Formats: sequence, C-alpha cells, structure tokens
Amino acid sequence: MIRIFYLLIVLYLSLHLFWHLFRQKNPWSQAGTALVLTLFLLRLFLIK
Amino acid sequence: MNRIKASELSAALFLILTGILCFISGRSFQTMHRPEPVFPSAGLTATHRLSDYFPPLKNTHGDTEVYIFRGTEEGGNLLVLGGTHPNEPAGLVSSVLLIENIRGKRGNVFIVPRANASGFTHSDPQEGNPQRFAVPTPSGPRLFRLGSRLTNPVDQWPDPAIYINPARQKLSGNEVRNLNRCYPGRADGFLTEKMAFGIMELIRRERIDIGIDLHESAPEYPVINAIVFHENSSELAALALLELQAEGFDIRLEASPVNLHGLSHREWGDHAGIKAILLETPNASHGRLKGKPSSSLIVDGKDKFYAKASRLGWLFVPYGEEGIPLALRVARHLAALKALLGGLAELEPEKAVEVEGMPPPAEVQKKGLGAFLHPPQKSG
Amino acid sequence: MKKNCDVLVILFWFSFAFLAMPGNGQETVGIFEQPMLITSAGQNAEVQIAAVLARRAGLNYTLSKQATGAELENVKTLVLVLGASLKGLGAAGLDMDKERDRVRALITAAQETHVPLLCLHLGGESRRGQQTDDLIAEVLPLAKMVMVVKSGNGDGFFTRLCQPKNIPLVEVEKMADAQVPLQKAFK
Repeated sequence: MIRIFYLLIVLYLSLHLFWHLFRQKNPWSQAGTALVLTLFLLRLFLIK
Repeated sequence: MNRIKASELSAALFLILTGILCFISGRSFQTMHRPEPVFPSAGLTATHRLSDYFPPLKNTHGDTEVYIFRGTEEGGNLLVLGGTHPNEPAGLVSSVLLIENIRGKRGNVFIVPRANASGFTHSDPQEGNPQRFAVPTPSGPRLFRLGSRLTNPVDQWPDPAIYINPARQKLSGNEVRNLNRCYPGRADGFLTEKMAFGIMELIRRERIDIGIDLHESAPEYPVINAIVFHENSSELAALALLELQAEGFDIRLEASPVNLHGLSHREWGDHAGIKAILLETPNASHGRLKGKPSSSLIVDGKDKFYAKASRLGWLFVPYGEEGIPLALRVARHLAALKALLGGLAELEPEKAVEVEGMPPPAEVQKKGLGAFLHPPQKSG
Repeated sequence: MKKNCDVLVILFWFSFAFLAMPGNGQETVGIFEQPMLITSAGQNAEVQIAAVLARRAGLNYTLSKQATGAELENVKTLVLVLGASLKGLGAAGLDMDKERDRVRALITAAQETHVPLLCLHLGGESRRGQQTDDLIAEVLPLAKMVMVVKSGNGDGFFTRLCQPKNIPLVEVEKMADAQVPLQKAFK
C-alpha cells in the first residue's frame, strides 16, 4: 500500500517535471530539468 | 555567448536524452541482479536454495543458493556463511574458493556464499563504490559484485524509525535491513528477517553442529583480525587461536556479548544450540579513512591514508604501505576455518568435519586467489 | 683435542639448559601442585586459552571466570590470568571496582588456606593499559611465579615488579609456548 502511495507521488512529480520541460525558455534549464527527470523516471520504473 | 532559444523541439531532444540516460543507467543497475557465476568442484553433492528450507523466500530476492558437500564418512555438519554483508568481499570470495575446490570426506559441509542475496543487488549510496571488483586469474579477471551491508531498499522499504529485532533488541531503523541483526528471524517479518529465519531453518533441519559467519571490518574498528565466539564455543575458539598463532597469523579472541542480540554468533548459539563463530579480517575498502574506492583497493588493499593512520597509531591492525590484499584476508579466513575444524576434531571427535582439496592458506597468499579460482566464463 | 670438543659440546648443551631458566636461577619446575583453579583478573578472553593450555599439558584444572574464595576448597594452586577487558567486564555485568574486589577477596582466601598463586599474562602488548597495569601492580607481588608473553613485558614492567620480591618470571614468545613451562611448573 505504502509503495503505491510512493509511486503515485513519484509519478505526479515526474509529470510535473515533464510539463516543466516543455515550458522552459532557457535550454540550460531544460537540460537541468531533463537530468532531474532522469532520476525520477529511474525511481518510477526500477522500484517494483 | 549567443543565446539559443529553447523550443518544443529542444525539449523533445532533451526528453530523448533523458530516455537514453535512463536506459543506460537502468541497465547497469539491473546487471547487479545477475549473480556472478560459481563453478563448483566435482565434490559438490547437491545444490539447494534457502527457499527449500523456508518456502516463503521463493521468488524473492532473499532466496539464495546453498552448496552441499557430503562426506563419505560419518561426522558433524558445518555451515559456512559468506556475504552476510555484501560489502565485505573476503566472505564471498572465501566461500567461492571453498565451493570451487573442496570435496567432503567426513561429515557434511553447507556453504551459502551470498547469505544476503538482495544486498548484492545494489551498493551503498554516496560511497562511490565500484559495482564489481576483479580478481586476476591466469586466464583473465573474475568479476565479483561489491554489494551493500544492507538489503536493497527496492526489496524492503521503508525502514522503521527504531527497529526492535526478533530478539527484542532496540536498534536504529536501518538495521532492519542488516541480516546480522535480524537473527533468529521472523517467519512473517520483513524480508531480511525471513532470510534470517531461513538460515535458522537450514541450521535446524540439517542439524548443523558448527556455524561460521565470514565477515570483514574496517581497520579502525576494534573487533578486527578476530574470532568472535559464543560462550559455548570458547574452548574451540581458544584452540583455534593457538593453532593460528603457531601458523603465524596474529588473531584475537572476542567473546560474543551476552546482551547484544540479533547477531549470528549470539542467536545461532542461543536458539539453535550450535557452536557459533564469526570471523573478521581487515578491509580498507569499507573503512572511513580510505582514499578513492576502487576494485584495486579491494583486491590489492593498498591505501596510503590507512598506512598513515597506522603510523599515527589510530588503527587496531598494523597497516603498511604494502596493504592487506584480498588474498591475505581470504587466507586468514581459510586458516581460521582449518584451525576451527582441527579444534572441533580434538574436542568432539564424533562431530569432526574433514574436507579434501581445501586451498592451503600459505599457498593462497603466495600464489594468489587466481590459482585456486575457476577460469572466468567467456562472455557471450 | 677430542676431549676438548666433548667439553665444548657439553657446555653448548648446558648453555641451553641455562637459557631455559629465569635469569636469576630461581626454581620454576615442580613448584605447584594440582588441582588448580583458573580464573581471570579482569575478565579477559585469555583465561580460556590458559584452560586449553592446562588441558593440553594434562593438568587437573577447573575454570571459573568469576571464582570466589568458596571455590578454593580442595584446590592446591590458584592461577590468575591477568588483563582487564572492558568488553569482558561488560559482558559479565561487572565494572573494574567490583572485579578488583573479587580478585582481592579471592587472593586473601587463597593466602589464608596457603594456596600458592601463579600469575599468567598471555595477551601481550595489546592487553596492557592503565587498568590492567594497576591490577597487575597490586596482584603480582603476591605470586609465587609469573609467566608472561614477551611482548607484554616489552617495557620491563613485569621484570621491575618481580625482581625486588625475587619472584621467578618466565617469558614465552607466543601463547602456545606457555604450555611446556606450565606443565613443568606443576608436580
């Protein structure tokens, strides 16, 4: 149960980052967002 | 510097980059789930899994192999546990060396090389440890995983704030994932407690007489180069110490504290009544004073900071510029095992365990580990 | 010429005999009687090794980690294995003061019943330190014989305590080497 909550939180933040990535006006901010998104996606998919 | 305007196209490109990064690092992380191959000697009589003794472990990352070498003559039953702490490589490598060389003669030998199999699937965060270390053999390097002291949080999460273990000892929260704090285990507990319970079941069902848990500790930790013994094994430990000193290995005795619960050398003796021994060798790679962590730090054991700490008298073992290589640490474990078996034969001849083909500790030190390891599998 | 050689050979072998004896020629052979009671002064782990050495030497012994005066009945020799271990004390639920009181009472009881005291220090250099040294300084002058692993006497601490009282001091290289002199010390 607690794992589902955790995954939902990670999913919500990942989607938020995804949305953020497309709204950025500065490519460096986009790169930073992409790096943070990498960590969140790894969390999301590699925790069973 | 001219400004590049960010667009949806660049965002998509970064998204692809994210995907590639996820794929590469995810795959590297997944390879940690692939156990390093072990090539048992012809003396192997059976391979069981811990889940054969405790079925709830089946299909979990806590399940692990139990290699069995049955002798032709009646005798005692010996359990050797390596990899209780997967960041203490001498335990794993000593067990693998035994599995790849010995034949049972008298009594039975049970070897669990990766006691905490889940701990091998990740490494300690923020340590910068390599995922693997390479032991040179005449036909190329053999790779072994360097895991973490604790069970992978992917398999057991979250940790409680305070952990009360099965033996009612209060410990800090993350010890809930430390196999050597979870004995005698709980059949319906956390995964690590189930692993501990599985090992207790193995001890009970196979009527183990003596259990030896192979560990390593940081050179600045007081319990080092030591035989930690349950009080039921004090005479055995003393005999082994005399034998080891005669062979030139400096080693000390540490009685298992009666009021520190959850550890193998306490609960195996208290709950299963077996002789319980834990062995420690000095390993710089998981100490706090080390320089850059690397495969060579693990295998060659050279570290200038430890050498300096030793000169300053900060350590509990002499640590020279030449280092304390893995071959020496494994030789120490093997010598201690040999001395303990000798002591057991002297004290309780009907429970004696004899094996053939055990790599002689002096030879391991001289020729290196590679001389006694199976050549590495050709990568396909 | 031949005779000279023989004399030399005899002298050569005699020199070994002298080397085996303590420097000032005190008696270290056959001075104790069995059975013996082995206990530690400081709850160290070496007490177990002393028991193993006694067993291997074929001596009649009882091991009691927290022996009291009452256990001295029918005992002909008290063997104290010296060295304070904080871990050992903690595991036994004792502190240094309690342990010192126990050892004092035991020695007093031994003196009253004329049981001689043999002191062993087997832990070498690492089993020294202020607490151990204080205990040794108090106990050692009452011993009939002392046996130490050489590295523990690197600073001559045991020699300084034994010499004025003329107590025989036997030094051995390693713990295992203590077996033979231990065996010889008993009748």
